[in-house]
Formats: sequence, C-alpha cells, structure tokens
Amino acid sequence: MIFWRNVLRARVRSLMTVLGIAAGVGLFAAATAITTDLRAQIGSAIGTYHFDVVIHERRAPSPFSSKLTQAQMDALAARYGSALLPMVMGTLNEPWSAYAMVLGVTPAFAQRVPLVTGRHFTPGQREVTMGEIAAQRLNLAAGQSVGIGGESWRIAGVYRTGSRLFDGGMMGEIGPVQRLFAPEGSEGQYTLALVSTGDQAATARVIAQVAREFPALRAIPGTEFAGAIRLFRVIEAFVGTIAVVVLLGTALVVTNMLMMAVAERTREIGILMAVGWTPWLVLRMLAAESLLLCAAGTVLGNLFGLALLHGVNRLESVGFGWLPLRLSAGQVAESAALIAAVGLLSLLWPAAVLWRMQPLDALRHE
Amino acid sequence: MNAPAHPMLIVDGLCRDYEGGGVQALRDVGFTAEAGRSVALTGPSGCGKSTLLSLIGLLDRPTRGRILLGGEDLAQVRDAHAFRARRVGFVFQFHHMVPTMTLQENVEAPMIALGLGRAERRERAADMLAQVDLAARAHFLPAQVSGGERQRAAVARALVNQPAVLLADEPTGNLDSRNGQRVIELLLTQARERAALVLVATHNPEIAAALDAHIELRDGAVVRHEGPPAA
Repeated sequence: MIFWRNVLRARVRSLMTVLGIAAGVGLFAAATAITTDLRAQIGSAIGTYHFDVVIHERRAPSPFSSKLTQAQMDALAARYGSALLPMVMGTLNEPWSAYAMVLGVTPAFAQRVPLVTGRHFTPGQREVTMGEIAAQRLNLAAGQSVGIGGESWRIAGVYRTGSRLFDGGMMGEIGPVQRLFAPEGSEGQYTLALVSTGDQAATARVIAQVAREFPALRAIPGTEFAGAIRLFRVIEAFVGTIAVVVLLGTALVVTNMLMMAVAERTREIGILMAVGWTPWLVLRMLAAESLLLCAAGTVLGNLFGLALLHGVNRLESVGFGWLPLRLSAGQVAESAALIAAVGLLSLLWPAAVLWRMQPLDALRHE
Repeated sequence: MNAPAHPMLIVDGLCRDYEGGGVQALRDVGFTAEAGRSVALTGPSGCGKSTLLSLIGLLDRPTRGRILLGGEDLAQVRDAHAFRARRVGFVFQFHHMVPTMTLQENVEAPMIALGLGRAERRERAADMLAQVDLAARAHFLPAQVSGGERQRAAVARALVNQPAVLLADEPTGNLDSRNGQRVIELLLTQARERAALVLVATHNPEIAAALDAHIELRDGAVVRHEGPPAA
C-alpha cells in the first residue's frame, strides 16, 4: 500500500513514466512478435509437409530470391525422384495486395494441403487454390475469380495450412506461376527444390551430395530455412537495436523518476534513517515502486504492441497474413523480465545517492 | 542504603565543530543522566541543544569527546542505523511523520529496521497507538489527523522499540498549550514505565520545570546544571 501511495502522490510523473515504458515495450513486443512469428510460421510449414532439405541457388542472398533453372531441376529430379518437390515462390504487387504471395507447386503437393472449401486447382485451367486468410480479406470464395498478373484466375477452392504467411497467399500450377514471375520471353525458373528424406542421416547425406554434385546449389536442413532468410536477419538486427534503445530509454526514464523521488522525499528518507532504516531498506522501498511502474508499463506496453500489430495489419500497403495478431506468453514474460531487470538496474544511481546521504542533512532538507 | 545507580548516559568533554573549527556548536559539554529520569535542555536558539541530541542519537559524530549510552561507547558503534533502531527514540518538533504511511505504518517503521515480522509489528504498533489514545486513528494518514495526534503518534513511534533513551527536540513547539502538555505528560509517563531516559530540548520553562533535571546551554557550553551532578 505504501508503494501505491508513493507512486500515486506524483500521478502525472508516474503516468508519464508508465507511458514511456509502455511505448518502448509496445514497440519491442510488436517487433519481436513479428520476427518470432515469421520464423515459426515458415518453420512449421516446412516441418508440417516434411521438407527435410531445402535446396536453393548458392549465390542467392536468401532462399526467397533463389533462381533454379529447368536444367538444374531436371538433374535434381533425376537424383531424388518422387522425394523432390519443385517450388516457385514470390510476391506480386497486385491491386488487391502490395505483397501478394503466390506459390507454384505440383498437383501432388497441392493434394497434401487441407481444404476448407472447394477443390484443388486443376492443371491447365488457370486456377488457383486460395489461402483462407486471403479469401477472407478479399471476400472471395471458391467459384469466383481473382486478378493475378493482369489475368483472371478462377478460385478452385480455399485451403488452410495453419501458417498465416501461406494462408495469406494462393497456390497454382508451377508453369503458369513461373510465367508470372519470369520477365517477358525468358525461361521460367524455380525458386526452391524441397526434398523429403525421412530421417536425419538421410538429410545429412542429401546435403553432402548436393554440395558435391551441384556446386551452384546449396542444400540446408529444413529446420534452418527460416534462419537462412536474409530479411529475417535484417529484421532481427533491427529488433535487437530496438530492444537496446527500449532498455536504455526505460533505464533513463525510471532512473529519472527515482532520482526525482529521492530529491523530493529527502526529508522523509531522513526520518526513516533516523528511526533506524538503512539505505538498503530505503532502496527496497524505491525498488518496489520502480517494479510497480515497470509492471504497469509492461502490461500497458504489451497491450499497446498488440494494438499496434492489429492496426498495422489493417493497412492495405502491408499486405495480409504476415503479421501475428497475438503475443505469446513467452514474449510477454520476456518483455516483463527485461523491463524488471532494467527497473532494478535503474536503482544504481539512487542507491549511490542514498549511501552518501547523511540522516541529519536529510532531516534538515527543505 | 541503596547502591548508587549507574548513569545510563555519560557525556564527557563533548565538542562539535563545523567548517573546520570555525564554528563551535558544542564546547566541552559534560553531564550524566540515569535511566528513568528526564532531563530538560534549554537555552536560546543555536545554543547547541539539537546538536547535542543529534550526537547522542548518532545522527552525527562529535569532533572530540565521548558519549557512553548504557556503557556502550558511541564512538565504537559501527552500525549507526541499527543502534538508532535499537537504543534511541526521536521525537521532533514538526512530528516528522512519513506522509504516505498511515499512523500505524509510521509506528511500525522502527520495527522494520529491527527486522521484526509483520504480525508482531502490527500487534505492537496497535498496542502502542492504543496507549497514546490513537487506536481509532491507526489507519489514518498524518494529513488526516490533528497536529496533537500526529505528535502523539510520533511519541508512539519513538517508544515502540523500547529504546534506552528518548530524544525530544522541541516536541511541543508546534502545538497549543493543552496539546503540548498532553504530549509531554504522555512522553514522561510512557518513558518512565519503560525506564527510558528522556532528554527534551525546549524553550518552554514550564516543561523544563516539570522534568527531573535541567541543563542550560549557551554558545555550545553548559552554563547551568540542576538535578543530577555534572560529570
């Protein structure tokens, strides 16, 4: 109760401190959620369909920007047979989404994806199967059409993989999708080749074989796919920077609040020291106040982060399916632990002041 | 014939200089006082009364001289905070209550310093407040009670740890005569029951006359000592 009363005695300052912490935590929570979620989505999609090995162009900065020629894919198909799945993957700037994700897959793979309504696309019919999130956002259903690359494609059905990234896109036959991404007159290319091996030893063998027999290609375990995407590394570096700024900002905000509290309450601290309180006991009282504000800032910050994600998700320019719309308990706990640690670290300077404080001087403080 | 009582407090050759000796707040002050007695410290403002109380309460350290409280040389006390919590009770002129703590919490504060458990603290604080007729005001904040009630709560806080010495610096200076008298009576009664030594710095001659001994200070030196013999 004392902590509450002390925090509430300077309501505006406490509110500003909480809002300052919340702003930082919100940004941190939203940014962390995006990177963690993207990794998890891609990881789960790769895992769900048992793609043990992902093969991409060696010199490509990221698997998403990889380009495999028909000759390379034919050679891989000759080596791995039915275990190989060629895939075309990319985003298009369409009137209905700035980042329309389109996958080109084989009919055999498409059959492995569960449907919500309708059926899978039929080869040669210029059809797509649309992800559930994309269908909801565009208010489209099986039987209707969608414009892709300036042409009308019939929606054969709606699928749900459980990965928002993929459920925010659509999939069609490889050949027509290749032509969507290939420059006029050039040969269609693949993005990735995925191999199902069944066990870790076979995965290691495939990776070694690709390294040996296909020097222009690179094979990585499916579990490392998300980590190999350069965009993620850039985003993670960005999030790391945000985290440092947030933590530093929080430390400054909380330290400032505590220093003002010590300055304003010097005489009270003198009273407490006169009745026997040690600087350590006074610091404990300040620590409780600091943690109370940090806790409030963390709760508000996570709500703010959630609101930020929902708000940004509504923006047309962002596309859809990319952003997580919830924060995991682990992420909330991580932000709480970091802010609590900062809240405690912020006590260092006030502690130095308290340890130098003479009770008699404090009692006489005006 | 009773054996002479050992002095609870021995102050011997006490000096306190400030500004490198340019200001002598106390000059060779010496006296003794026995447990259960009350001593008035009088003299004009700036004569050294508060400085003397601060030195006895270990809020400050002397430049020279010695203070023994219950046989313990204060110069040898390493943990002044623990010493104050255990051996000393303070009552200040402006009550000096922590405004965000209720009267009960203010009275509990010295017991927190001693590391007592919450249940014991609450029980003792409630008991102490009842003794100063503040049981009904225990959960009020200082700003919600009168000046006299605040000062009675300050007395309760000063006595709650059963200190050996109670140091009161102008405890009635901010009260009307009726409330002032009540606070002094309370202070003396409670201290006597606990056999605590009471030192009261005051400008009020009536209060000084009501106490067992009277020490008058001028310019930092003892000029008159009535009651127990000077050391």
